[in-house]
Amino acid sequence: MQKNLATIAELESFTLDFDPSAIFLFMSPSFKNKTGFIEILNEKFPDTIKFGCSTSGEILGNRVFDGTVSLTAVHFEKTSLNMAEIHLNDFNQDSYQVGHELYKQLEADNLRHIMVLSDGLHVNGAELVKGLQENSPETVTITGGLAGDAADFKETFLICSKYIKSKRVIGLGFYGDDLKIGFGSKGGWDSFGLERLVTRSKNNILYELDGEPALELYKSFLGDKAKDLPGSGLLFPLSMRGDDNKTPVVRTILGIDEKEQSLTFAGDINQGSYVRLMKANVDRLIDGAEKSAEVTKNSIDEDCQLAFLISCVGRRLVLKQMAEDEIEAVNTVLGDQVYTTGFYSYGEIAPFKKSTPCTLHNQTMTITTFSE
Amino acid sequence: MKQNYHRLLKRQLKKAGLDKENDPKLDGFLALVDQAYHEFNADFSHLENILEMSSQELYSTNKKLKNHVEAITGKLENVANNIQEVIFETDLTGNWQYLNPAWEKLTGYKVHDCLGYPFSNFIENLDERDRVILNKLSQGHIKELNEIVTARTRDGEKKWLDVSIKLVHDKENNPTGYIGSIVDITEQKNIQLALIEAKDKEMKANKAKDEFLSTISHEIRTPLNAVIGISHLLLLENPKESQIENLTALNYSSEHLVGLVNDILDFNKIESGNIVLEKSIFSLENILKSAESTFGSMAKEKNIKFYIEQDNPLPTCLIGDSVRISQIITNLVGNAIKFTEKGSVILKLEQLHRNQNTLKIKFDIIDTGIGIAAEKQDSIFDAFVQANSNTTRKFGGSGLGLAICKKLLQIMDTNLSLQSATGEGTTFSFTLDLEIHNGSSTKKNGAKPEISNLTALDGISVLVAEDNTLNILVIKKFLSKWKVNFDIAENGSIAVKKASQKNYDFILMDLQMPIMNGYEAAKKIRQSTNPHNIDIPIIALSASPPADVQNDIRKYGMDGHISKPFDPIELHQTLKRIKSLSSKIL
Repeated sequence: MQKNLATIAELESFTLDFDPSAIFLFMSPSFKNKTGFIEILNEKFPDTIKFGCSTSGEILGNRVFDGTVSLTAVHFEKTSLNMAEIHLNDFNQDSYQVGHELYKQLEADNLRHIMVLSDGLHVNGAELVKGLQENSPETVTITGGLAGDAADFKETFLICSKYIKSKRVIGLGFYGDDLKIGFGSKGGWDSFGLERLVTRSKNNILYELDGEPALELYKSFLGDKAKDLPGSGLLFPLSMRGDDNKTPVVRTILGIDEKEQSLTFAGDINQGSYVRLMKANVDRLIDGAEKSAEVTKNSIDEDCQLAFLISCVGRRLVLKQMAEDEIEAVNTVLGDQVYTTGFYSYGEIAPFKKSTPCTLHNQTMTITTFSE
Repeated sequence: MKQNYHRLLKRQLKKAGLDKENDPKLDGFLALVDQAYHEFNADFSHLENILEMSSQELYSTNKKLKNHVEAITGKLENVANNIQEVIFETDLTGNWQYLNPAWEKLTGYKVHDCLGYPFSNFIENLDERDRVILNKLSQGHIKELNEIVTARTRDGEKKWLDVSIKLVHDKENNPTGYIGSIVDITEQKNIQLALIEAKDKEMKANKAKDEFLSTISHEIRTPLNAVIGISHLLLLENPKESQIENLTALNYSSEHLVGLVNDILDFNKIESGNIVLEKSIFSLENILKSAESTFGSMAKEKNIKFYIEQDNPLPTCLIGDSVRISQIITNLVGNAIKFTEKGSVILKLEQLHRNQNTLKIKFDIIDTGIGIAAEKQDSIFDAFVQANSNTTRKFGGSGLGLAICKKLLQIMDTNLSLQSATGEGTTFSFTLDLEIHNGSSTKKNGAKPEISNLTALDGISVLVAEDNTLNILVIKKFLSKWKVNFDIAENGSIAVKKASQKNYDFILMDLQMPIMNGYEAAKKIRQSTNPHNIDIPIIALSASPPADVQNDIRKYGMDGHISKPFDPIELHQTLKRIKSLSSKIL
């Protein structure tokens, strides 16, 4: 059962003809009376897991909303669920330790999958993924994303059953042998211009490219849009390639520091790696989303029943009025039977495809499907 | 129509006649279109900016690269144009593709006349070997090559060239040609050849020197032989009191002269590396006895003491070069006595290690003589050096003795060491590693009797083969004195004849004689039909050092050797031994 709600009042008349195992909620930061909404929901479904986060756009079916809540109530027949929540401050905001602890709390013999949602501003997504994967066997897959807040970069939040909280990482464990999980993650961005050597960086902060201040170079390419930084940085990710010539990963800007002339990214920028600026056009982004759906569909044998679409806010800023085209493209591939929900995010977590390790992505359409 | 609509939208609405419409539904739609137009413009200008920035960046990067390439090319060109070595490129069949200006300097051919033509047109008169090697190049059989070849320049000048060639490949690893260098090494080669020639000359000169020394020493020894012999004889013939002193001085001086000649010959031999150590059974005990007898009387004359100290009895027989060991001991003890005016000289033997088969023995020659100052101790072992020039005047000697001892011991893998201080005496030490022979010694060196006490040897008959009249005179006198029957043969041929006609007890054979030398004569005598001659003792009489002739003497069937100028005592002992042998047989 899925519903998009624009106001709290719409929740009053909300009823279900089944007993849900979990209610997935993707909520706009501008939604009025968020706490009130959760309270009402808790009254109606006191024993049901409520799992979700703030967004830069709510996805439901073929549509993208702003200022609403996308609600999807799901009953799993054969799969059991368990939710865990970690406060970033408990680990001194050490994302790696947080990931490590989250896995520990969800770990069990029949654990099949972890869906992880994280604060979008105070977490190093790459480290979080490393920590999560540290002890997880290959049989456990991990997907998820970083919460968004339109494109404001002010405050993101997580919905963990009875509360709405910031600076948290939450995980939902899926247990049981009957669950079929599919996933895929594709971008559709193009690199352009010269390859530049990262001459100074620390973790996810980039200071210098080819010995020159990184911010200055970055701004020169943004042109007029430089004044809208860091929001406009979403339009201008970097592709990063290590020495090992693996598939380059895309990195999105989260913030800038004029004094330090530095840029803060959603994942690590390694010193000694090579980066190129990226650009996108509408057609190629939509193609990218379609390819991501194809990878997802090919990763399992049967039709999926439920799909989570986590797409980067940067894509939405490029697609603008055409954002729904990428959702439609995905749904066309996945088929009519699927229930689709999700959100525009500040970062996506998934393997590129089956049997590759899970990584943090930016600027991708990342899809996770379930069936049992 | 809203006034702030996009310019294009306003134009389109006007053209469609919709600019006057006031429909809220249409307004909503137009707002979306307007937004899209504006956003499109913004995106477009963004892209234009990217294009502009990228173009600028590419332009400046390209310019930088160009400058960089020019700078490097300039540098390389500068290097290639100014180095002495030829740098070249050829295609796969050996046609010149590039040559630097050094080529023209080396060969006289202009670079532009050579490019495109085969290398073989310009490297002429190759040796057959060089041609075969370089032809491999044009057949594509070479990956890497470094050869020295000779070739002629345009003017026909012969050059030695060090040629390095390497096959080069394109990105797909297909061979594209060769690169390499040619270095003119003619000058080095000429120096090398000159050095070889010089060395050859030096070797020839050395050989001439050796031959000269050998000849001159023979020439010196022959008359000395006579001088010594006659002085011995005169001393035996009751000289007047006033003559004794002169004769003794004459005798001493001539013996000293012989010692000097021997030292010089010996040293020369060691220096030129011609010495081979003998490995034969000998008795160290006998060498010690001989030393005791010789040096005991010498010490007595100087009123000092000489004695030998031994920690343990020695093995009866050892294996080594007894002549050289004896020479070292004699030299060191002789020196010690020479430089000691009062006190004593001790020859001390210490067996450091001994088992069934080997013996490590330490020799110390300890004197209480004048000693050697610390600053002189290093140079004392150098040839022709004595502690100071006064030493030569006072004590005599060639200054070669210690150098010879040291070198001989080095050849025996050991060393001669020295402990001394001025006025406190000197100790020379060395150790020897000797094999023990578990059997009996062949040589017996008994104590020497005095020359005046020599007994008559009547009853034995001796054939003396000797061509030098002076030597004949001396030998005649001694043999007559000892009542020996003898015949003289003036050359080898006569000796052979005489030996076939008469049965002698003993033959004394000079090695260097006219018509037939001593070796040939000995051989013929051994082969003669007279059965007596098969085992008759034949002793070589030679001015050459014993070590030089020892092998040949055995080869030609002779039994021993007496050095000229001969020691009458040694000759007497030899004859006496033969007499006792023959009397036993009789």
